[in-house]
Amino acid sequence: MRMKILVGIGAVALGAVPLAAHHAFAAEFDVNQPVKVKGTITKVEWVNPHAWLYVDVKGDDGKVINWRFELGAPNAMIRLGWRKESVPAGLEVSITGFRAKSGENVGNGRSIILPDGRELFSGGSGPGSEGKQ
Amino acid sequence: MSPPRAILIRSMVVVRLALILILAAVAGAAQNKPDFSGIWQAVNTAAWDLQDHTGALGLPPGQGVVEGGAIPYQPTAAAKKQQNFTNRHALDPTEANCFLPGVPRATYMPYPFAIVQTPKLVAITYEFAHALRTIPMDGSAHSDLGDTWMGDSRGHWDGNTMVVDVTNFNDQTWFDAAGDFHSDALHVVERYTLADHDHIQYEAAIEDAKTFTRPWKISMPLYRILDKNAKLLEYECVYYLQEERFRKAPFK
Amino acid sequence: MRTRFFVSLIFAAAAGAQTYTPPRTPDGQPDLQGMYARNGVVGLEANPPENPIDPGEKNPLSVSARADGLGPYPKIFQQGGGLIRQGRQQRRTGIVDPEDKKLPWRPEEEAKRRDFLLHMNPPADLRHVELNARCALPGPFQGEDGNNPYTFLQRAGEVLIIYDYNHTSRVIQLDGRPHVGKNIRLFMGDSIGHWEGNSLIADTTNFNGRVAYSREIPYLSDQLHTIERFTIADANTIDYEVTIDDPVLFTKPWKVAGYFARSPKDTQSLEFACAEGSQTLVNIFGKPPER
Repeated sequence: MRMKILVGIGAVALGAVPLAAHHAFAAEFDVNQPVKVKGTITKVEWVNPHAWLYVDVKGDDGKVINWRFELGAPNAMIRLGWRKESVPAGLEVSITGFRAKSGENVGNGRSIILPDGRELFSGGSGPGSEGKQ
Repeated sequence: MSPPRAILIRSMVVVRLALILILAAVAGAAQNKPDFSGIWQAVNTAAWDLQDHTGALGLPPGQGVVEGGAIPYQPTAAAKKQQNFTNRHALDPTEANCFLPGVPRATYMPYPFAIVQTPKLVAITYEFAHALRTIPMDGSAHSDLGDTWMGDSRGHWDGNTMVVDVTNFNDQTWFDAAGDFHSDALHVVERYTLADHDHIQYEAAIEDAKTFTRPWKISMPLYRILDKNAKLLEYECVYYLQEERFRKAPFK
Repeated sequence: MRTRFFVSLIFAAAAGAQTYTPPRTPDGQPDLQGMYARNGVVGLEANPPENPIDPGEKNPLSVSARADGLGPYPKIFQQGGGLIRQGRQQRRTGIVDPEDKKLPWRPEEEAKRRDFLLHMNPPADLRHVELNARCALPGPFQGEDGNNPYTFLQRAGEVLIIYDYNHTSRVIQLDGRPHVGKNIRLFMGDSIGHWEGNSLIADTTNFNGRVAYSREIPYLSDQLHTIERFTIADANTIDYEVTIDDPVLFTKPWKVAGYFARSPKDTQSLEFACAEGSQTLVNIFGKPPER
């Protein structure tokens, strides 16, 4: 089976952050604007320097908005056994993170909660993204 | 000295000589391949257009490098190529966005590149956008990671020709600035042969069943840069483009 | 093969029992080729300015310097350098000269640096965006250590260092040529070098004044001159020390140490295309007008 799924109990780290996080979190994202959204993955951009996860989120008004979240660097995640196929389109997830300073539907992803309740940390540059706090 | 003894001594000398030669041959075998190390550059207009093209303002004219003349597009792909060509100033990933040129375009960009050849690994560094390829020569298999701009390269020797098999491409690069493109099924086989010390005869065979009706080939000489103290400098296309595009940032 | 054996014997005898004798390349250089993880080259200065670009982080390195096994770096990095055990020995890392880690800033330049940092959150303009965030060449100090390996290749007259990070490479010319002319400025600088015993010495100039040392030192000037020593310590370790001589910013040179640890045999070199996937500048500044 080609798709690798990390089997684990409780929190699983999605990736170790390199020594110097690729670039500063605070230039783009606001630590004072935490967000949590629930929706369906529509797309994964498995690219360096950051992978991006696109999620269709239904708002209170019933309108569906597409959010995108910045994750860690694929090269770091790949070396830990993760692949693009680990976060397929169609998967229902909750994502916590921090909103972009621009106010757009963009965030720095801190963690992803899978349908079975497991929480995966993004390995991204935001506070707490290594899964330990 | 009696004849038998002379013969004996002579044959011992011959045997010793043979042993020395064999040892030298064994020791030197790994080193007996041509050395492609150095700085090279293509001198043609393939980067603008792989096929025959007439001059225009800013476009040097050139005879094509495609064997047989035309790139054998499938019908829908041919239409896409036309669209690419019409909108090339906006759509060419390399000319419009400074993105990595892929293979074989990196070879004939009008910038020098350096080959550093060691027995198990050959590295090619390109001045344009500091593009890089590492080519294991150790018989290892391609990696299982697709979606790359510069491909996954694995090399081996065919006599004195270095053959490089390149796969795992994404569909994001163009072959030239005229809109010639490919899918993620692209498979390139390069052949590097030293015609003489200062010329490589370069060939790239292109195979992509999603885009072309059959495989096709390009070929061209590559010229050694002989200037004194030649070295690759930096053409940091992305940085220069950012300086231009974001000069008046922020925009909101 | 026999030649190598005899040469090694001679060098082993000359070097004495303690010094490691590396194999030689065909052209006679000590052989340090292979893939390595780099450690410890950037260190925290004593009394760094409040880090305005990561205000939630008390220690600018703490995003990654977790001692909990998620990164390859032990707690020592939270102090910005010290001693790490690699192989049989403790290895020096971080700022090693001056020992008190108080960098010899020219006061007016330190003031300019603090002002620059204050304009990085949020970035006031393009100039105040970290180079890493722009996918620019990282210079000698940055380069995503640990998870992005370094590969050393050697041939007659040169050493090539390849960084997986942003497909970077730099050449150290060993053929006795001079530096390039002073009007050629480079992110990676221009390196000429030579071997002294087991140490490769590289002299680098022609920097472009944009290269960062760390998040707290976001630029070094174009008068930067570095002298690096790569010392083959054993079959799996290269010790590294760099003297940073920037007369515009500092009153005297200072030194940083680190080491390269040979990567496990099955480590793959991975493509790190950076600009192609980066949304950073648009996320910070918005979309630029069409050309």
